[in-house]
Amino acid sequence: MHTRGAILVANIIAGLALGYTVANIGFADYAELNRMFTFQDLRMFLAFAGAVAIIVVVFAVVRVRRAPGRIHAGVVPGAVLFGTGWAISGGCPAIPIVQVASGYLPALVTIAGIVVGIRLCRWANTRYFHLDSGSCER
Amino acid sequence: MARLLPAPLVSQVALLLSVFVGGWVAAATAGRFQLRLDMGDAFSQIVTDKPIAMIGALFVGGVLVGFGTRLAGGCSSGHGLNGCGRLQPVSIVATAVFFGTGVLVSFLLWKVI
Repeated sequence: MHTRGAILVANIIAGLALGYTVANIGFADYAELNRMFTFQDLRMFLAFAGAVAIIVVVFAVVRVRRAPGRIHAGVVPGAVLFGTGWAISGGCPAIPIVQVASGYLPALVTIAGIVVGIRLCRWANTRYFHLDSGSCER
Repeated sequence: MARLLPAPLVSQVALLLSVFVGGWVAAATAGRFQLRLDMGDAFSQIVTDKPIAMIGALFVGGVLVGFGTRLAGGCSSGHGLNGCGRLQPVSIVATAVFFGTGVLVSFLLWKVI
């Protein structure tokens, strides 16, 4: 059932769960993030891998189909840019919302940057990239 | 098969507000909530402790995150959780690349810069 009300309720439940869980795991904490990326503490890597494993099982049980998606020209450079920005700012990209909710007010600047980046990508795709993946158009 | 339409704007806004509320509840109940004008000791030591440079780093980092996720067609949730959960090759490649880049840049920030 995909009524507007059902989508709204699902989004509220998913948002509350995501914000609460992400904050408690430590993804909003720059120190924890840097320790994960530099292999000083594998706890968050394992949390991520555990989440993926659960999703694989759940999607298999409820028979979720693969969405059409090919490895287009924007995937690797986009992922490089995202990984660089994530390591610098600690935002990926819902995390700055949790950072602000935890009291880190400068994360508002990260949110502003993300909005600018999204709009910049749309503009650049229309003008230069012309990717037909829908990546910058959605 | 019918094309899945994007969620209405009100649902998208509700999602973002719910993420905020969920994060706030977690921080408040754990006693971690504290209004502050920095990003913590680790950010000050690893990236910068100068306020103007911090603003610049956060903005540039945010632009890279926004641009990169749009260009790659997903982020740590879209590709990393959802896409890898579906075992989609495009998501597995994207996740390997952005985690690998995160590792590389973090080591550079930690040990070199």
